Amino acid sequence: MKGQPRSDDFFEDEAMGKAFDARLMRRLLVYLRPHRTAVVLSVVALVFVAALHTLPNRLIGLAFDDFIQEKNLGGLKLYAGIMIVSVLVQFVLDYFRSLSMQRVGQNVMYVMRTQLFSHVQRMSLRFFDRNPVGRLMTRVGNDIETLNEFFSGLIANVCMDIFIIFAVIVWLFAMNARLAAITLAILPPAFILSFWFRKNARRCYRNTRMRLARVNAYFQENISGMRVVQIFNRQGKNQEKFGKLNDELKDEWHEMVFYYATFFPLMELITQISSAIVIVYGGLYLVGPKEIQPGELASFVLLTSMFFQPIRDLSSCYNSMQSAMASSERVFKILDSPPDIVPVEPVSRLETAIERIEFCDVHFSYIPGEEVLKGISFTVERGQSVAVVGATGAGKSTLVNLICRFYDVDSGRVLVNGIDVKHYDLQSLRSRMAVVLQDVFLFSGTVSENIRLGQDTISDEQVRDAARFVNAHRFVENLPDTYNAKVTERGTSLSTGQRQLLCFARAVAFRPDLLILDEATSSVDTETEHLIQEALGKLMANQTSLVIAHRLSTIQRADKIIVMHKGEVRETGTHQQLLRRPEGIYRKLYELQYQGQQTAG
Amino acid sequence: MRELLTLRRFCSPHKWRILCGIFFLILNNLTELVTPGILAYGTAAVALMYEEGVVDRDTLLAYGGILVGATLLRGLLSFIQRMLIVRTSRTIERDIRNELFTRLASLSPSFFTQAHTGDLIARATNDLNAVRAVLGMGIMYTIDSFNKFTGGLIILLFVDVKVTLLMLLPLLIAPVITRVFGGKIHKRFTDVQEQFSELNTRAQENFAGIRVIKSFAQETNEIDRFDRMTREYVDRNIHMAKLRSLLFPLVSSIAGLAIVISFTLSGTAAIRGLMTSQDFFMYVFYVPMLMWPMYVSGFLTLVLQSGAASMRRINQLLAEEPTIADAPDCIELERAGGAIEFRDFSFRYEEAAAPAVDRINLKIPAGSTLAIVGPTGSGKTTLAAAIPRLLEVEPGQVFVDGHDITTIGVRSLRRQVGYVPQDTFLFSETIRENIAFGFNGEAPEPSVEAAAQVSRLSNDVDQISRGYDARLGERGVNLSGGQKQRTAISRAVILDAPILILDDCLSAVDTHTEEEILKRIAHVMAQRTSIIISHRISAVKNADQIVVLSEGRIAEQGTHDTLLAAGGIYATIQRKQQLEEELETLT
Repeated sequence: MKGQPRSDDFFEDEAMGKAFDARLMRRLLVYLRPHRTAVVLSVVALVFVAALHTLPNRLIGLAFDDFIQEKNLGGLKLYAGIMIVSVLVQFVLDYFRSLSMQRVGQNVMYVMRTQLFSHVQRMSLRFFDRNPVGRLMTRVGNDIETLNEFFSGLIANVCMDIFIIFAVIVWLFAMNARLAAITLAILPPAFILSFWFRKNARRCYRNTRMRLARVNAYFQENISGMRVVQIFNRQGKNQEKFGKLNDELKDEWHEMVFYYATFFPLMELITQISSAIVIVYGGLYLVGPKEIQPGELASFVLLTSMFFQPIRDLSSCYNSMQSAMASSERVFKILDSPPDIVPVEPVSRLETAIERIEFCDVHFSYIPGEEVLKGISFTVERGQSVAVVGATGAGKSTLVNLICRFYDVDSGRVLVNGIDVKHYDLQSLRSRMAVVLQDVFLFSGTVSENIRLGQDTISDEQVRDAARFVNAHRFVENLPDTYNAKVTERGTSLSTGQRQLLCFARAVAFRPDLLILDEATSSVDTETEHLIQEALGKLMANQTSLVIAHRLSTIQRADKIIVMHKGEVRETGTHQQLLRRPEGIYRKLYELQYQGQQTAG
Repeated sequence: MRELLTLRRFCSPHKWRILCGIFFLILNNLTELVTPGILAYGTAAVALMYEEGVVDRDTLLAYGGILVGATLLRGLLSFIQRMLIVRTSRTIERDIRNELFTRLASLSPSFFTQAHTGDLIARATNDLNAVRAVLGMGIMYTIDSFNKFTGGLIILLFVDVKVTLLMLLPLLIAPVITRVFGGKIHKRFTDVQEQFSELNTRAQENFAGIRVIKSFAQETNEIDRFDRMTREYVDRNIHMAKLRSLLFPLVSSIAGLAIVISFTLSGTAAIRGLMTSQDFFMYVFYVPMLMWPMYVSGFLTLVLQSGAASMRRINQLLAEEPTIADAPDCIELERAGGAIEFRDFSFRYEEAAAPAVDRINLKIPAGSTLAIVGPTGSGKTTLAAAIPRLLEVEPGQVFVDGHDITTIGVRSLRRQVGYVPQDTFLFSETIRENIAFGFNGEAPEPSVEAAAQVSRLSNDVDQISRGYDARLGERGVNLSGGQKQRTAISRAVILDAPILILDDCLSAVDTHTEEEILKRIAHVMAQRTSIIISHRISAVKNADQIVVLSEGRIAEQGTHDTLLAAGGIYATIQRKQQLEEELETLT
């Protein structure tokens, strides 16, 4: 599968942890604090809903004893009235309760998601090197959604279940303590049963997750490598292997089904045994001495049957709790990793124009022990255009990363106007520079959105001027919606060269003091190439610029050329000066890379 | 919903299990329909005893016994029913997943360049799961609700027609509600999903373009924009929540009203002496059962609707036809001699403006070596990939041993080729299994090691603690780019196929190792027809024949010496490489 990176950690998220972690829970509940009124009211409403939910079952019994047996039609109508009111009140309470919990859940999700996103925005590029886009997406997307479910649904369900159990117990004891105590004898076996179920279901759940992860991993691997599978005629064998993994998963599910198929009927049995106890025990020992009335007995049966649902539900809430805990742990892990590139005291803002960029004996490595820059020193003065040349892997692009302080140097200093970049407020530093990166990146959106990015202070006129300046205006005008034409990240509506021009326009629109340009190496058609070279000429003539050059025309325009080789600056000078050195690196590079390129503009 | 009919095909091998399951479900429902009756009669009996002051021990024990007995029976039936239906749904899930895999394995490489891995996996997981839910819960709950409702209704109609029918009045609103809410929920749900995917796209692009964001100091603006989008998402969710929060209480209220009506009417009738207390209790215990379908209907609609949508996505995939397949009367090659010929071979990738290769005429005699050089995008890989028919090659353009390759069985054609592709793809299995990949992972020991020696992988493997049994990938060892390429070389060399294709397979190997590998591989290549694609002159100079491709055409053709003498592209490449080497040696 071309262009699709193979992500080894695609299934990393399958690991499951505890269903209840007090530390995580406390931290999650902090998010509810701003909504405590709504939460408290909702919980109170839940108490009432639970009470009202169980009420008819008590009223029916009472009605039988007091009115039906006594032939009291008025009383019956009164109860009917109460029940209707109760249905209505329950409806209203339930509606507002549900809506308010949903609102709370949504707002908590909003806070967490934006908090997470802002935090990620502050992280350095090293963080992004370590965390693939897919993983970050899962955090911001699915993990937050799981937590939303936790806040807006799960908490309420658990509370409701507990309240109903509680309400039933209260009713039972209010009616007849002795029968209630005997009936409640079903609770211990019910809890033992649900404990047994939960233990096994949890194990099965884990196993199925693990097996499913394997099935998916194998599936994904084969999709990515299908070409190789087909070249080597391995379809049959791989189908067989997949079938085996798939079978293991199925068997695991079958075991899971066994526990469900055992648990539900047994739970039902326990409930009905309690009904039988009520009728038999109540009939034998309580009805005779008139300790209990028949209606109460009916209420007993109806109410005890209400135990079943909540206990069953609580057992299945377990898996949801487990996912919520796992998601919150992953989200907190990101929130807890501090941004590693922050201004160092004393912090200053870069308020004046950039006069001078200076590298002093800079050493740098992406991976410890593998130095990419080995003591680089050079300066760029205001108004100068400097070209950096060198073979691939010489460390040119790294210079860009260090001027913008995307990474910190290992040793040495990068100075802007005589102050180490570490002391600048990042926003003030970077907004004085404009960078055109080697990989042309466009966001989904319109052409003008791509030029001004999110900067609303750049007017439409300025966007047009910038495009005109870099020769992009003409082709943009020819697009169906001109500046409002939609472009996509990898779309094909624009050619590679046109995309490069849009990136130039972006850099111009931001009116930087310093232009940093990492020339793209991809080849473009001759006409666009001409436009690009002309645009580059104008860009470099007008302001301080540092260009990592791949075009002969670019280096010829530069006031100064820095030749990098294996992480060091080897030669400095103008094109003519450098060419005069017979054994110089620049001369070789020139022959290798630039000779044969046409000079234009 | 029509999409779900596809399921019949997947159900038919298991139809007896499913039918038995449904049979047990019906038995289960029948037994369950008895329970409220026992409770009603039991309670009424107690009421009578209360009035008369005489306790009839045997009657009570009988009711208790019947109750527990019925539940035991029901439990057993329900157990069997679940074991049959739900387990079968998991078995069918497996069947569909296997079929998806088999279908994918039959599709041509061009399918996989267009498809997105994430999307294919989503179909095999999320969508399949939704379909499975239809088979398990969908079937069970539909039948269960139907049986309980009709069964309960019939019983209550026998008790009292008028009360029963009046009780059903509030339920008449139900279809209206479903109609009104159904459409709105669908629309609002779609709105939510759309905004979620916008949010996701924004996040994805932000993370992917983080360097642009940071270089233009746009973090704050990005945060603001993401904030607005999240706000919108939240608003849409709340819009949806308003409906949901209304729907479920509404349904419960309707059920609640039905209960009140039945209570009032049956109570009134009992007071007026028109109904026995036994019948009164019949309503008390049966009505909740009758209301059960009301509660599950919403959930059931969701399961069926999303199941249908997912089934459609799965069917799309299953309907994909392979674009490269055996011709009806194809021939099977036992062992080819290895002569290859291209006659006016042209190929254009879908959606590409220009052809990747354009009217190539080339003969590669059996046992000879062809080298292909040329800039990126000049068509080198396309030319090589045509030989084992990894591309949709037109008839009459590519020949092996004089046979048009489109007339040869695809498998037997590919058996003739040992291929080292440009992008090295290894599987997360052991090194041994990866090398013996073409032998279905089970090649004899000495040949694995011999193949590893050809690519100079054996020394590296000796450094790894578990040697050839070390697993690659996530939970195993990570090989370097060069080691991976060398594993891929061993994987091709071990096959002893008459044709060997090496597509730029030494790019991640240092010059010194490259030379050694080339020396060893030369021996292997001597016995086969070999095609070697490389950027390095050192790798191609000894070939019997060298072609230089440029924009899909053969620009130059000859041997190392004749091409150098000609002073064209090849000669330029050679000079540049010399310079590069000189630069490399500079310290």
